[in-house]
Amino acid sequence: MDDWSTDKVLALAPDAGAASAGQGLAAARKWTSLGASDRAIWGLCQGSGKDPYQTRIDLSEPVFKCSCPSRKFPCKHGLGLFLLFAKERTIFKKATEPGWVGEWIDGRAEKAEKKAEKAKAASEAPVDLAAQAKRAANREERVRQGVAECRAWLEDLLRVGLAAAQGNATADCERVAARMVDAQAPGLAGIVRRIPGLMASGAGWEVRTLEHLGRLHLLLAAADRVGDLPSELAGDVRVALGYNQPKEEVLAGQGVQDQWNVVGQSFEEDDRLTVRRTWLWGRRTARAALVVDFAVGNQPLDTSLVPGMAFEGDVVFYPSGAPLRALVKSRGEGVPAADAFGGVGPIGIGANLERFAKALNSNPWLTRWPMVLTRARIARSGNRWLLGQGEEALPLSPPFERSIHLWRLISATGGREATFVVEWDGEAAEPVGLFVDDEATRFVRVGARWGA
Amino acid sequence: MSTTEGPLRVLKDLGVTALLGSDRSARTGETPATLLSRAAVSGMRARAGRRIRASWEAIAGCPVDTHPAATTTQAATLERLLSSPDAALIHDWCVLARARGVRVPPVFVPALLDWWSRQPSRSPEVFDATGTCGAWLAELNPEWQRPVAVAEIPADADEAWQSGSSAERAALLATVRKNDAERALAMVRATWDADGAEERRKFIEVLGHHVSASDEPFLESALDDRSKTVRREAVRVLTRLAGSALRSRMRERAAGMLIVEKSKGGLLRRSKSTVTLEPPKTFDKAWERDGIEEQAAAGKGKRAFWMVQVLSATDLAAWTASTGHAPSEVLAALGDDEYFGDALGAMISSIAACPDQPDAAAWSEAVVSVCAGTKGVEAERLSSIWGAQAVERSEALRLQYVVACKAMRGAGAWNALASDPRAWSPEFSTRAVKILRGTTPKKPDSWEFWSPIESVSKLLHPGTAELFESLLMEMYSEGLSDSIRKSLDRVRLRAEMHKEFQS
Repeated sequence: MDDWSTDKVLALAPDAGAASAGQGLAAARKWTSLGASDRAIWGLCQGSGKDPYQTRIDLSEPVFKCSCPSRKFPCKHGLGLFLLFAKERTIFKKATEPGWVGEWIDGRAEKAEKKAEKAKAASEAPVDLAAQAKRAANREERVRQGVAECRAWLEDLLRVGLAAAQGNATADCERVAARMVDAQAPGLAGIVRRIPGLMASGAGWEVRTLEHLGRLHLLLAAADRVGDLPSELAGDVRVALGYNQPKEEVLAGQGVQDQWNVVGQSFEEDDRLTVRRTWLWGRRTARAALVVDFAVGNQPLDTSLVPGMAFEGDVVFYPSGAPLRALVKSRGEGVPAADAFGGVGPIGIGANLERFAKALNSNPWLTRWPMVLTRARIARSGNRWLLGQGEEALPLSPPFERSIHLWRLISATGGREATFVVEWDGEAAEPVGLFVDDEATRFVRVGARWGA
Repeated sequence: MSTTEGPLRVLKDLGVTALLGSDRSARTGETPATLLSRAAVSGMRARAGRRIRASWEAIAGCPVDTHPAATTTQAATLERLLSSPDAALIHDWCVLARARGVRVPPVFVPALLDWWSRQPSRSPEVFDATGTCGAWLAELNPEWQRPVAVAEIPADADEAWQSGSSAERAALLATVRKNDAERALAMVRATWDADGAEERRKFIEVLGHHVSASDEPFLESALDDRSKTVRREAVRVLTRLAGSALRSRMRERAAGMLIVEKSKGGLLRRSKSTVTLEPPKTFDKAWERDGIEEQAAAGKGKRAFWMVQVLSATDLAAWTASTGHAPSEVLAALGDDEYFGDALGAMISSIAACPDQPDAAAWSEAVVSVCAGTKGVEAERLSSIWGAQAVERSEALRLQYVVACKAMRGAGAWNALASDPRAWSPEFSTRAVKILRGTTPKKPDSWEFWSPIESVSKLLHPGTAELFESLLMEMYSEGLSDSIRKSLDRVRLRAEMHKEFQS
């Protein structure tokens, strides 16, 4: 069974409110009928309703289930129960699972089996190849039109000049982005939507905007010749345009076995969509993998990858010239992520930048690149904050610098050397994880989700 | 494409063209497509080849803190408090931590300081709980620096007094006053002529703490200050100083307003005197120096207004001395006077303004009992009396008041018990909850009770939490409203917090 600490449990919280409410419920007197079996824990919690809520946790992943009406996942009861378990394991007496626990877990196992069977049946079923090909061809055609439209618009923009376009950029870009979504090229829509922000980014905005537009131009050019490109590059072009590769296809690929450490996490919220990026670091292979999860509205995010944990297992990368995005193919027992970076020597800023340059050479549309900086520290240069290491330093991203998270980072390191995990966008670093040495190496949450 | 020029340089030049638009470009043959292609190449080269300037300075490391960090459970509670800040509880947490010699774990210090720096009263206890980490971060972040009165006089006090900002000087003065009252007075005198009116006022306010007879000559001279706010502050402080010349002058003025007639009783009775109040007929300009205002608020009688101001700064012992009666007898004898209400108000003000005056305890008790039996004197008005007493004394008086107010049912008793903002002692908490249990109706209206329940939830001793919870459950057996549940949660949380720090 994993060694669950309060911190690790809290990392599962869908938001700060649930984390806070969960802590309030992590007291023995809030619960009755607490119990534990080898695979699960459970308890009853009196809420505002007439009957107490039945809260249960399948410890294998873990998976939560509660009879309360909350749409948050895990809900505060699930978190509270788990926190209590992390704090006072002994009050969970070994017992036979009540029906509402055992049946649920068995039911889950059954469902998983059925799903697997169905998938197997589906893969064996004759596919209407003709219809599939027709759909694919239709999409290719629409994307081709979208690319052409986007190019015409882009060239127009440069003809009249960025200064003239700046005033109306937001509405203009939104219109074009919506067109790109219609054209089934959501990748292009995302690139276009970033333009107004760059145009409003202060001194030197035209250089940053032009660089961005240059990359867009490169993508449009590559899209025209995608058939002639080497397969990996073609794949990256298609991802940049917004084609998805089905998970099943990816999972069928060859995995990379290692001790994978969950070393950082970052969140982005866009309207009702939450995008979570979880960074894994292979201790022996000294490479990073990025697992991206999406959730719409209050939908739960997968809770199996908790920062600060590690597992021995297989991770399979999406095909790319610079493989980064990945899926967990198989995982063994979880262990605390101690000594995650001990497999390699110190990792310098220079070496990181070189890796980034190589990766860009294979995939020019990379937007974020993970960097691990061992033995680095928070530093200053004038009024900017940096991560300093040896003779070199990386600037921190301005939004991060202005936030309380900067101070969390400073405070947690005590101004001393630590291991930082950052996302590098080509200009600035955004910290997503921190490992501090005090008694033992500890993971500290630093991402934007975890502020006060 | 030039290879001698750096890609960033090229990109910047292209940026100028992009701003204006290719139509207006000076370069012949420049089209949007050529411009974009060159931008793509230079941009990519710049991006891949970015090297970061090497000059950086490390920040000094945080000094080691020998106090142990709070446990995960304790820290989790603090984090929870910070996620929906409740000032009273956060303050409580920090005081508890400090008392146990425990510090806030570094990861939580920024959120705590951020919250603290936005509070109107930046409580030093909260800052102290952050240990060396907080002090170290405050050096790095100017927003978290704020002069806080420290425990000991700093070595460079004299220099800081000459060069500091107003707020820094006031904080410094408070520190010095606590440790060495005479030195604080000397400091104020040293720069007095050069200081602005608001600074002078503030300094006199600080001198109001630990005030003694040796401050009097200086304060007396401040009654002639050119600024009215300074003069008024000096009046306030001199009024607080028992036995001051100002108070004697007031007492002389009061003597002319108390008319005592000794009447002969019957054979077996003691002589009995009646007391009548005679407000002054004209305003003496000399009174102004002692802070007496001439103009009454609209709708108020001028004469009574002048009298109340004089009596409010007069020792209550004057009443006892001139009549030969005990306080309660004086109050009884005054009972029918047309100015009785004014006099009672002045007595309350007098105790509040100078709690150290002779016979203050006996008079407080007498005034409180009369108020308990008098309609129209609300507990709120008495809060200035509570505030002027030591905590135990205030608690005893409030219990006396609530018990004496036989007619007081419902929210009135709650308000009276909660009308002193200082934390309740364990004994008082137990007795108060018992009294409330006896006086509170079943199923009371939530709207009338939520405010006093909230006040009590902040004051109650955590050891009484369960008793309080069962009281609320009795009151609202059919379910709690959200606002009352919030108060109950606060009480529970505080009790839990105290337990966490005890184990």
